[in-house]
Amino acid sequence: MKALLGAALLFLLMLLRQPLLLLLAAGTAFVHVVLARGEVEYMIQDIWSALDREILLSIPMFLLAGAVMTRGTIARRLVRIMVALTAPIPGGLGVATVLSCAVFAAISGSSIVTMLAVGTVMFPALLAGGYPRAFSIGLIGAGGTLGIIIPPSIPMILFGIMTETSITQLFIAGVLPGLLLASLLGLYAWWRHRGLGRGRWDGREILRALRDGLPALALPVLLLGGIYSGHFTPTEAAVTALVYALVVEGLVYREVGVKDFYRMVGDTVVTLGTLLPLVAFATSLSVILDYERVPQDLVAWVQTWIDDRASFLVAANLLLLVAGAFMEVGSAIVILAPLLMPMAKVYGVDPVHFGIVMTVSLEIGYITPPVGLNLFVAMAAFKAGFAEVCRAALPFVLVMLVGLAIVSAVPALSLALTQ
Amino acid sequence: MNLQRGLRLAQAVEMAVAVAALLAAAAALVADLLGREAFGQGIFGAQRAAVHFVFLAGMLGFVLAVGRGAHLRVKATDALLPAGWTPWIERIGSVVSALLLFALAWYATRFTLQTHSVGERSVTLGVPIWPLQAVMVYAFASAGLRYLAYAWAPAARPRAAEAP
Repeated sequence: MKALLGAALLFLLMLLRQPLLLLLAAGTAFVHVVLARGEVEYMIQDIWSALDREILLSIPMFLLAGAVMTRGTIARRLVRIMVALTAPIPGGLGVATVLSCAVFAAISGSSIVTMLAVGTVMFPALLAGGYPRAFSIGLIGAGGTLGIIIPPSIPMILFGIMTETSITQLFIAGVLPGLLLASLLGLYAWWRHRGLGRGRWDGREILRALRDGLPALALPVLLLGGIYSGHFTPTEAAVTALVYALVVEGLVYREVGVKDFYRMVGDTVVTLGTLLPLVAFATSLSVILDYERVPQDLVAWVQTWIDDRASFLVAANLLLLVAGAFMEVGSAIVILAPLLMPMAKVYGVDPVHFGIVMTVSLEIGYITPPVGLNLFVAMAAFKAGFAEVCRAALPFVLVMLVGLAIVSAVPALSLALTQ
Repeated sequence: MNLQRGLRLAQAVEMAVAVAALLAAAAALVADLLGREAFGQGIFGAQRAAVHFVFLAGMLGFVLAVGRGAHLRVKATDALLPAGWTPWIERIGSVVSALLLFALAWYATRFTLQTHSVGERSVTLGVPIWPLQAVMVYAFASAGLRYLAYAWAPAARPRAAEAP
């Protein structure tokens, strides 16, 4: 009865167009006071404890590094290298788009940053190369999602924080699934337009592009090498990415001025202001639900319906795909990860593998209507209608579902590099 | 018009402080990392100071996100009520947001006063932590006032809020 009252209250708040954060705050306060017979002050205490942790430091640093790289020319230089290298491949520009997204994903932790940085350069190039508009929009939208599976990844950091799983292990585990998804997208791009734009290798252009873009190309090597070798913690990797991006864009390429930088930090602060309170309220909800043994009861209930690991992964993926279609990835992770993780453990799913499955599953939500963020950003960036971007994304959703099935069914793909 | 100018001014001050805090956090972390890489020893308390600066930036960022309409909102239920009601729903919604935020500010004040009364300090830095916790009070109250302003003058409400 009390739970129904809480649901009705939340529905009323949704009708009154409250932000997700206030829905979460009201829901968490309701659980604290009505269900757990506690006080709202406990929630405030949880918020403080959740935000007073060193583990959060990598988030603003990766966000800031991403902002610097989006405004600068790192993406343009990386794209030039990929275009030069893929020139002789039929449908090479499509493959170059996916490769550029994959490489940029290795320095940015965000899907939208990756999509915008590569998309603004590649979209006009794809159209000029004779690629259909719908295909180009879909490809860039889907390529952008690689930003959160190829490490570093802000959703993986959030997953690590909410479930106390090693963020470094998650980063390492994301490499092969990320490459698998990039390969699938690249193969699809090649297959769809194998008759288009076949050129030949131009040694001089490749050398010029490499020389011009070497500082940009060195960053993913430095970051992934540092994380993989254990030399960097996620926070150190984030700080290194920030310093490197500032040096390359500010001093080497001289593309970022002081005024630009102030705007970038300002934008980062606003993004941080949407993300950190969400983590704080979701942590409080997770703490009180755990105290009330809700995850344990949920596990017991689910066990009456599902009795093997494979069925659990299928059910979890279906839930996450639906959640991803309606929620932003960060919100979905901070709310759902603490609830699903105890179940994953009961069914023998490795926590790191589950983190990767969850990230890939929610990643697909970026290009799934009704609230796929990449779809909305594509509408604004490429001046397209909602129906057009949804149709454009559909084939890529199917390709990524194949990738999700492989990542879910083959844990070794995620865990091989972590051992 | 004065209200909008006041909101813009408050936003500019909050932005300046938040940017300074985030830069201070970045500087502390960079110095710590350089110290460890170059001299084999980090800077004592740098990470803790960075945590506090990020907290400050994040809480002010929360207010700034209200000002820019950047907070995510579930829009699935928008179509359930007649479109003609939208202006009033937005006004009532703004009042409800303000009330929720004022309630959070009230409880944050009680929590901060409690910390102050027991003299709790940051373990690493040794400084009192209540001034930092008071930022929560400010952030919730300031965001609440902003929503009240939107209820009073809907034209001041940022339209960017209607993004995804």
